[in-house]
Parts: sequence; C-alpha cells; structure tokens
Amino acid sequence: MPNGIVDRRRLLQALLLVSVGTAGATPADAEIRVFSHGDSSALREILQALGRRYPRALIYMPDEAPAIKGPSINLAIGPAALRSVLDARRDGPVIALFTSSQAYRQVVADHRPVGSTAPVSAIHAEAPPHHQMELIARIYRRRVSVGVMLSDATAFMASAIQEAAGRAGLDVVLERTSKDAKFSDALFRLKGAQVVLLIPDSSLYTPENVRNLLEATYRRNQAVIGFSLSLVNAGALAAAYSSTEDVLAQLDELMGQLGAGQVPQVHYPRYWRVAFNESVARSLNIALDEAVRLLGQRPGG
Amino acid sequence: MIVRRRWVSWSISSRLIMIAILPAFVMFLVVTSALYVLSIREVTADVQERGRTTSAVLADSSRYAVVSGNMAELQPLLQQVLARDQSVIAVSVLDARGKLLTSAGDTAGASGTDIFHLSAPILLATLNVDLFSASDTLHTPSSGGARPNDVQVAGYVQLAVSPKNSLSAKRNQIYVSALIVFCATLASGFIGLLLAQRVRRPLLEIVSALRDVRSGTYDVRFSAGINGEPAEIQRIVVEMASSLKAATQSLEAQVKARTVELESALARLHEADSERRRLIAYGHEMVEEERRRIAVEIHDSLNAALISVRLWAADIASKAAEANRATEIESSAERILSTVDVLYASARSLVKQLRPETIDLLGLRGAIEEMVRHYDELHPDCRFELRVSRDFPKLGQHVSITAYRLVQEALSNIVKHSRATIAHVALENDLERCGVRIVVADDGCGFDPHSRFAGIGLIGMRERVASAGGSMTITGNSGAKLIIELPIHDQRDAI
Repeated sequence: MPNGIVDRRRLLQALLLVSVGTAGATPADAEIRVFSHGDSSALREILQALGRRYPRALIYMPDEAPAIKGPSINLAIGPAALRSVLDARRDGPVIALFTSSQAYRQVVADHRPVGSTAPVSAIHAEAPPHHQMELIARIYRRRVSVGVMLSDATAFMASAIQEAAGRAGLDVVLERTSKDAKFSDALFRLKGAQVVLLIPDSSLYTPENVRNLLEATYRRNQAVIGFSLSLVNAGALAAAYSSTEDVLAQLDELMGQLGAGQVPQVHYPRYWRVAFNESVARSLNIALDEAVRLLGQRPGG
Repeated sequence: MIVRRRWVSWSISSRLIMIAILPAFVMFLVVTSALYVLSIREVTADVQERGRTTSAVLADSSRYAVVSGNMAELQPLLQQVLARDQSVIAVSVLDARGKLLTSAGDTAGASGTDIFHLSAPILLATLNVDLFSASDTLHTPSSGGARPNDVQVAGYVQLAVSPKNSLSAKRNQIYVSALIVFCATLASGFIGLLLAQRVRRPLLEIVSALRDVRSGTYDVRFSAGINGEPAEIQRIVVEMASSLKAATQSLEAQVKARTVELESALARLHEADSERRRLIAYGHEMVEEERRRIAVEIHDSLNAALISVRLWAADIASKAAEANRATEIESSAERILSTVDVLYASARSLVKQLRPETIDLLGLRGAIEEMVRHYDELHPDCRFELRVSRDFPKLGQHVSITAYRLVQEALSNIVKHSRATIAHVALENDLERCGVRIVVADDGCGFDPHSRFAGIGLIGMRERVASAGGSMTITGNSGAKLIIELPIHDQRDAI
C-alpha cells in the first residue's frame, strides 16, 4: 500500500478518534463504515463531524475495507465513494451523502449490481425544489416567473419543480434542452423569466458556461438562485443549502430507521438554510430583510 | 563680438526696452515650444494608453457576446466607442483562432505611420464553483470554493488608434495657449516698459548731469521723488560735482598764481637775458674799441718808431759806405732794415687783426672780399668763394663789425673743423625783412649745432647775432650751412 494512502488513512482515523461528541443513534451492533475518496478540507470537516457523531465509525478508502461478517452500514461520502462502494458489492445498506440527486441516480443506475438487494439510500446534497421555490417566494414576496433548464438527466424533476412553484405561488418556465444543444440559446429562451433557478445538472452546467449564465442573467436583470454556496459566491443571488451538520442530523434519523429495521428512502435535505450575495442583491435592487435571511429549518428547531 | 559691440553702443532706452521685452519673448518661445513638444508626446502616449484601456474594457465587455455568438449586441457598443473616442479608427473582434467576428470603423484605412494597433485578449475564466458533477469526489453545498480560476482566451479585441484627431484638437489648444502666452508676453513687456521708464528717467537725468559736469557746469540738480539706487547715484553725482567744482576752483587759483609767478619769472628771465646780451654786446663793443685803440696805438706809436729806426738805419748805411769798415756797417744796417720791415709787417698784421681797417676803407663788402681772398690764399686745401648781390646795402658800423666777425668766425671754424674742400660766402639783400642775409656753406663733415660740444665760438656768434637784433640758423647734416639775417642798422648805430 503506498505510503501516501496509509498516511491519509491514519490521519483520518486520528481525526475520528480525537473527535468527541454526542454519538448518533445507530444500530447497536452495526459497524459504521465511512467511505470517502480523495482529500480536501471539506472532506476532513465532514469526517470530523461524523467522528463526533459516530465515534466508532471507521474510515476506509473504497477498496480497502476488509470483508467482515456482521451488520454494517456503509456511508459513501460523495459520488466517487458511492460508485466504489457499489462496485465493491458491500454488504449492508449504503447511504450516499453529499451526492447530488442527479449524480446519485446516475451512479446507482450505472454501478448498482444487478440483483442486489442491499438497500441504497441517500441524503441528496442539494436542497429540494420546494425549498428553493420558498426562498424565491420569500425574496420577491410576489408572483414572479422562475425559469429552469432541464436536461434528460434532470427531467425527472419537472413535476416536483412545477408542484413546488405552484405551492409557492410562482410561475415556472421549464426549458428542456440537452448537452448537445447551444447553451446560450436555451438561456436566451429563459429571458422572460425574472428568476433563473439552477438545478444540479452536470450535463448542462460547466464551469465555462456558468460564468456566461451569470453574466447574461445579470445583463437582463435576472436573479439566479443556485444550489451551493460557491454559486452564491460566484454571483448567484441566493441559494438554499444544507450544511454538514444539517445533513448529519438527518443522517441520525436515517440511522434510526435502519436501526428500527426500516429501509430509509432517498431524501432531500430536511434541514436547510440560505445564503445571499449582498452585492448582487444591491445591483438587482432587491431588499433582503432579516426574516428572509433566517429562512430555513435548523436541526432541533 | 559684433553683437557685444552693438549692445555696448545702445542707449539706455534701447537697453531697457530690450530688458523688458526680450526675457518675456524668450520665455514665450521656450514655453510655447515646450508645450507643443510635450503636448505631442502626451497626446500620443495618452491615445495609446486610452487605446489599451479601451481594448481591455471592450475585451471584458465582449466576452459574453463572443461566447454567446451574439455579435449584433456588440455593434452598438463598438459604434459608441468610435463615436466617443475620436482617436479610435477601427475596432475588430476576433475569435480565439483570429477569425473576424465583427468590426466597426474604417478598418481599411487603419494603416499608416501614425496608427497604433492594440490588442487585448478576451479571457474566459472558469468559475470555481461546485456544480455537483458526477465525476466529483464530493458535493458540498456549504463549500465556498477556493481553487484558482482557469483562464482561457476566447478571442481578441483589436483597436486601431491614431493621435491625429487628438493632435489636431491639441494643436488648436496650443495655439490658443500660445496666443494667451503671447498676450501675457506683450502685457509683461508693456508693464516692463512702464517700470523701465521709472528707471530710465533718473538715469537720463544722471547722464545729463554728468555731461554738464564734463563741460564744466558743476551746479547739478535732480528731480525729487526718486528712491533706491538711482537716488543714491544722483546724490553721489551731486557730491562728485561739488567736489569737482571745489577742486577745479582750487586748481584754477593755483594755476593762476603759478602763472603769475611764471610770467614774473619769465619777465625776469627775459630781462636778464636782455641784460646779458647787452653786456655781451657791450663787451664785444669794448673789445672792438680796445682793439681799435690798440691798433691805433700800434699804428701811431710803433709804426712811427719803426719808421724812424728805418730811416736812421738807412742813413747809417749810406754813411758807412764812406769808411773802412763800411762793409760790416753796411751789413748791419741792412739787417736792421730787414728786421724793421718784418716788424712793420707784423705790426700791420696785428693792426689788421685787432681792427679790420678795410671795413673803414672799403666797407663790409670789401673787407669780406679781402678776408675770403686771404683765407683762400692761406689754405690751399679748401677753396673759398664769395658772392655778393648787387643791391647789397651799406650797413651800419656796428652791424658791419658784427657781420665781419661772424664771417670771420665761420671761416675759422671751416678751416679748423670741417675738412671742407670748398666754402661759399654769400651776401644778399633781404628786402622782406629790410635787412641782409649772409650765408656761409661748406662741403665738409658737418656738425650738430645743438650738441653741447658745439663750441664757445658758436655761442659767441649767437650772442653777436642776438645783440644785433638778427637771427642765425645752422644746419650741419652733410656739410654745414650758416644763415645769418641782420638788420641794416642796429640800435647802437642809431645812437
């Protein structure tokens, strides 16, 4: 085993061992295995948080975990780890964390072993459509039109988006496009919408065209609602998102379901919060009150 | 050198005018020239800098249009740039491969030495955003993104700028500025002239006062109301004039006193000289008188005695012929006769030397003829000649004696000093001066009549001439020529 991987693993183990916190609810005899891929500050933060909640959890690289007997719960942190865990045919339920819905569907469709009965669940990374719509409704406090681009990979979200828009009192304009089509044309067709809602779709959005999208919408005085803090920092007006603690709080609940013998469903994050780009808000003449800044649902609240 | 000479010869007014105008004019030229040159450079640099800024801004503004392909949206912006900035000749937007996407302006005319071509890349920086790609290792909605952005070139904005229009506008500004500076120069010169007048007037007064002082007018006055250095100079000039006046008056008094003294001394000198001449003339006269007396004495006494001795000796000789010792007695008597003859001749010569009796017998003309003949016979090495004008008048006794002695002294000097081979004596009537002119010339070695070695004889000749009221001129360069002018009668002849 290369020394680099051993060192990283030891570091992650050490992080878990020194983390002190309230242990989460887990099946008593189930070993919690945490699979991750790569190394980043965000990953370290997640693993630290996991360690605080589940001190007995063990960190593995996806292809390192030895086969063991007995119950285990596999937590796949990120789509790459989920892919590897599924390829490895791990025993026990798999819960995908910090993976977008589109990526989850794609990975599960491509890598879940045929005939496998092991439950695979997830807490998606992005906020559900109704959280985003609620955010838009609270920002504008009136009926506005929301444009959304959907590709074949995200077409499944169309009905949820429309329902969420209806519940929030918003109009929605769905623009079906594909990765082969000209992005600027699809975006141009959304010029009538006052807000553009971004849904995680790697087949549509690339770092190259996101800048153009932000610039084009800015020129048209359109607000962009993103799905991550990085988008807000890049120029989106706002985003509904879930922090690591929010996700792990929901993970506790899933663990409880697993402990009760239930098969947890795939969920969007329940706990969420909002982030705003104050400069964009000022340039779009959008006033943000305190109530909208505190929008969301916190764990335990 | 010529300029300096001309400047030095300028009047105060001209200099003040030049001082008032020239610096301002030079400054006008220098400032205008500097403004022009610096403005040209500034405009050119400014146009280039503005072009770079404009191309960078256009590149940033064109990004969306280049990426989206919506070139129509870019045209108004390009036209606006051309309309707002006259230095921009043409604008072109190209894709990453250099293919022209759109342009505005006179792209065909964008060539020439005064055209600058600027280019700015249209950069596309990929955002560092988490787009939840399936290939990502982690989807963290709460991560803000920290990776540096990747940059790629999406195209280029090319700008052709020319400072021509800006230069034209700048030139107009410079012309206006130059006109303003020129007016300021004129105003400055005018003010300088006005101020110079305040300096000129007192200076001219000072010059006028100095001219008065130079011409001898020392009472100088200046106008009141002048301060500073000109006033000080005026005070100094007044003091100087006053001092000069006092000094001049003192000098004049001294000169006057000295002049009186000198005139008195000169009068005394003339009187002494006149007395000395009178003494000398008297002395000469006494000498002549004495000579005459001696000559008379010798003639009367000695010659008579000698004649008597001769007669007795002749008688003895005749009586001795009759006795036996007759031969001896005859011989002695003959010797006595010859001795007496010699004594008689000597006595006659002495008488002649003491008193030229030929003057009394023949007059001056005859006496000088005899003298010249006598010198000619006695000195065979030198030929003596005489020429007497027909109208040579009869002179008074004292003048005759003076003339005789002068010729005698002159001929004696020729014999003693000149080594001449020929000597001429000329007696002429000087009708203009109512006198006579005596010229004695020789071809000898000549002499310097003003030399202190000229001899007592020459001094005596001058005194004789002066006492007779005449004049004497001597030239001695090659041979000697003595010209004596005498009146026909002197004052002693009138007595």
